[in-house]
Amino acid sequence: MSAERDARANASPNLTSADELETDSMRSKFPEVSGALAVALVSMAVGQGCLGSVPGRDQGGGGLVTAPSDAGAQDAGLQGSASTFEALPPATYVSKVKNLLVGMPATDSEIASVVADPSNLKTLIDGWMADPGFRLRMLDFFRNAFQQNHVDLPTLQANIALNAQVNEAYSSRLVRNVMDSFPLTVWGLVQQGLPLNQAVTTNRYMLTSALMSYLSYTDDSQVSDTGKTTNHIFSNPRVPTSFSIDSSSTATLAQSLANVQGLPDGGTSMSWRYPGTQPTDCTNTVQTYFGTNMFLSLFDFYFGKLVWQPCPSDSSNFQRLTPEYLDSDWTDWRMVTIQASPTLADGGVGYASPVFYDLPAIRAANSLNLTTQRIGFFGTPAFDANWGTNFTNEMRVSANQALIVAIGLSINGENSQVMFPVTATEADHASNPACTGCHSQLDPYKQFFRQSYTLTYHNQTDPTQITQPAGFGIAGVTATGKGVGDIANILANHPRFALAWVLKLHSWANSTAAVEDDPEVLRIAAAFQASNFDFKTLVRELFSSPLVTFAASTKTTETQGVVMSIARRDQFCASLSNRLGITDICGATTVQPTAQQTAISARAVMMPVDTYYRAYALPSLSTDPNLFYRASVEVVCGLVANEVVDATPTPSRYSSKSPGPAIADFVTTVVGLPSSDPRAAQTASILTENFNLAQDAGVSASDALKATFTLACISPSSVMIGQ
Amino acid sequence: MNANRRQFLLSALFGTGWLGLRALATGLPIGLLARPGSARAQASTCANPQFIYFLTSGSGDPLNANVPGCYIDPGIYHPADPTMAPSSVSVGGQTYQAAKPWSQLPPSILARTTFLHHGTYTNNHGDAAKVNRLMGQIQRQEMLVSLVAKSTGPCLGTIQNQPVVLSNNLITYSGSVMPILNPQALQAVLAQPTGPLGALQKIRDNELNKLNALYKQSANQAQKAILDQYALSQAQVRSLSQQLLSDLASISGTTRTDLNIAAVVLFKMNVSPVAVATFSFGGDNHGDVGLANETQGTVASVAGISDFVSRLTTYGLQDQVTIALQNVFGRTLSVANHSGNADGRNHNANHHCSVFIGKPFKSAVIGGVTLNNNKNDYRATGFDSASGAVNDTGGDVPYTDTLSSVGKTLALAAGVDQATIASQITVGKVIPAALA
Repeated sequence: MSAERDARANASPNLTSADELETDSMRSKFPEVSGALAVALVSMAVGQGCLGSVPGRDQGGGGLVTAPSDAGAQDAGLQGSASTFEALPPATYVSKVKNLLVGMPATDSEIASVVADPSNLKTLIDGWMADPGFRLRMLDFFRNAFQQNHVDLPTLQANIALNAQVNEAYSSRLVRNVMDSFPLTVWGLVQQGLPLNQAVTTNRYMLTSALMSYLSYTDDSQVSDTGKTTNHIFSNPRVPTSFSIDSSSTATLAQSLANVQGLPDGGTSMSWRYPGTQPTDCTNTVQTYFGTNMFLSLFDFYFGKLVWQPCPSDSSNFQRLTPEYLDSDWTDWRMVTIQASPTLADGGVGYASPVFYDLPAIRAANSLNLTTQRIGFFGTPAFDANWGTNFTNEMRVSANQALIVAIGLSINGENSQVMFPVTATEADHASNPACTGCHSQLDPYKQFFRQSYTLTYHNQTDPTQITQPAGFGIAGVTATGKGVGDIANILANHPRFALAWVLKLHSWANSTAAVEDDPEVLRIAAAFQASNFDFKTLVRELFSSPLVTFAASTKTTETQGVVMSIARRDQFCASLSNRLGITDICGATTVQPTAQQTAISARAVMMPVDTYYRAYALPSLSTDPNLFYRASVEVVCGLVANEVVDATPTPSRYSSKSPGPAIADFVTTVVGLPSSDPRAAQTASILTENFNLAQDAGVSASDALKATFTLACISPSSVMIGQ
Repeated sequence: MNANRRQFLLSALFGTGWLGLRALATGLPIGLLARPGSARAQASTCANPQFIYFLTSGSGDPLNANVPGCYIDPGIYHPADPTMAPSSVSVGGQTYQAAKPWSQLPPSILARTTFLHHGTYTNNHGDAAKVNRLMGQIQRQEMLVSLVAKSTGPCLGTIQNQPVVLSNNLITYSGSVMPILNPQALQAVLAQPTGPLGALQKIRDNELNKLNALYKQSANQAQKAILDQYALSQAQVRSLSQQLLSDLASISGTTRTDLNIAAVVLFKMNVSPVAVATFSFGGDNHGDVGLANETQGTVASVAGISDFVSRLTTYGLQDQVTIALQNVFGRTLSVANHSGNADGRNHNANHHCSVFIGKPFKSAVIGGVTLNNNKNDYRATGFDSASGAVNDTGGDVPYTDTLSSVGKTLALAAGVDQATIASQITVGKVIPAALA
């Protein structure tokens, strides 16, 4: 029996084996799962069960930041001591907070105002939240917190069973749209002063026209649990029964859409021009499409990659075309309401509208009718891309990840150990007592998703799945319902929502998990909840709290010490971008990066990133300035130096003809020390000495200043948080 | 004062490389800065410490399905592709059937390859990190490879103890997550400039040491600790062999070859005692028509193992590095447990096969498989640790202890001392039948 199981047994002497714990009342609520849910509820009542409720750190002392390890300084990541708390002064924590929120150093007046009255920090935070830098930082936070990151097109298309072609030169635009849509959506909610929990229930999304077109087609191409594709587009009376692509045509898109020709058989036809020039040995100048897959071909055409045969000189059979989407179709973000359009069986029209190829209609639309109910963060293609499922998994992983995002809990979390029984098969292990504790919660819960979605995230029409009951019994909340709409409401209104988001934002700020029952954590969660989940209230309360400032000890610091951290890649790059006025300096979000962005991005990949893991309630983030980090920041800073020192075209931010003012700005802007900081003057001396020694070594003033910029850029307060 | 005189005085005062100044500035002892790897206090004694190339995956690959020991029963299905044809392979003096790629390994590799059949006790992808912690059987929830690294790093004198992670795997060390390194970027990031830019770097290093010292003057303990680590990291970077770094230039992506090059060079540079990467043996092949992915993955990965050993030999490391393959779980072996469909496999918590290749290991097959109680699939058996023979009823390693026993065996082979193994891994026993 595992140590974990022993611990559970010892901590709950009144519990025996899981299968003995049933109550009649619970059994009646969920007849399909009998008393299994009761098992879980009773388990939860005594803090057991398989939910990993201590996020990010193991119970039993492993990995907790207490005293430095016996192995010495080389075991990095463990700093500080739980018993020797030392408060950070305002000069340090004001800079820390401002750097985290907007990527900028604090000014003398900002520090002075907090020295005079620590409560002024909240006022400063309110001001920083209006800074454009805050938006960029929060987009990064939302992208990871809502698990919208790490999308690649092949995985997305595999997970939604879409066998479409996208011109490789444009796939990065589509992927970028997919990853940015929901963070922008949440930002929009925040700016409108709407509660953060609406991110769970919203059916309004920030979309571009290209993304709307993609969603429209993928919705029409519904794939069932058995892999059968039904092309609902054919139910749309306005679509043609055939179309052609003609290399001799000069028709514009508008003309193509308007010119619908009647056919002798009663059908209709449309024609598009072939954009650009074909290889000269292609023997077809016109290709005509009809039948089941015609609109897949049109979709491929719209996304710029199409089978065009025969062209003997090109063995790949594909022609890469300019997509039908304009540049603006990838950037015209606006809030779009996705309406669930009932299927034909339910008396609706049963197809997506606007139809994917009608770009003028899409460009003008602020609503999109889809048969698949898209709601909240788990209704996004990014979520689909992250969490594929299959007939064995049955959306359990999707459901668990949704639980992690919404309320910060994971069924079978990172700390639970459940030994799979030898006798169970893959199919029936869910009913085996060793596994019941998880499945009694997970299986009824995941059914909400299965009622709405097929295994490839299309509209569910299988009556077996739709009628199988769904139930939620997690962390003190029990509820029944149907489909993703109901589970979204359950999660959005769960008592843990506020606490979960305090913990997520704390983890983002400090790279470590807070103690859940820390009174300060609970205070902030209560304030967040009382504000009707106003995100700015959360930010204000948390970032002015000693949990982040380390201005006073908290239960978290008493338990696990103070952890200082490196600036992870997103933070470091955002700081450099904002301080130097260079957009996306590391090329993380630019769709068509410059040569400089590409070079920096290739080196910055060695820096730890913000991320999330399967089944982990909170990400475990690297805090260690190890040798790879040290090397990486130096190389990145060296490349950045080329962009800001004697850069062309002029004017360059720094000129080697004026090293004095440049170095002074290095101190305040790059190192981030205001003039009132006692270290500022000596830092300037050290930087100046570096410049002089470099010149003594025989290099040009330009190279000497670049080397000095690099030194400033790799200084402790530039690469670490809270120095 | 001119530069030459300045240099002379500083060298006279602070020694070569101005170590004294760096020590003064950082507070770190001179010995630690001079030899960041070897100057650490010996945390343990090691017998013949090994570097470990840990190949792991959360996909739950069908590594277990086509190895020696899995051809005992016609109920176990295998790819029909000729490149995976059942072939005779001599292991431990006995002849087994295995997929052809295994039989094509050079005898010199097979002579030190152990196949260990065991359970991982989970069929959940998200439990990959737990399996790497031997499902909670290591004290303080440490990962096996990190436990090994802590012990063997000081013995090997590596620059850092922490494992280097070259593929997307969640690896923790004392609770801290190890960053994932991009092999392609290694050379570009770690290479030091030459000529005037090299001189600038030396100057900058010294000035950064002064900045560190300045910050430390007003720092609290937590701030000082990370400043010290930052200073140490600088020393570690500068101690890397530039000659060897240039060997990284041939890395062009993240193929098995690229991972092998990165790992071998990092071992040769003595960066870390453990390198972690992923070789796919077919991935999460629920749907795998003709078991094509399994075929392609197995062929390529066994070839990758052979490639790695060749590279080790080139660098003279063939007796100092052990390859360890271990994934989150195995795959089902019976068609019945894949809904009667031979085009794919499901998850199998009850059987996995770890493969260890290195000088400390002998040619052996440890344990095996048997039908489970439901008779619809196969699970790992218990075994006798002394002989490795299947013994599901009276062996000294019961099924429930097989994972930990495999872990203990790897730890011992890697050079971790017996006392540490006994105190840190709470279940199971070392398997002498696997050890040379």
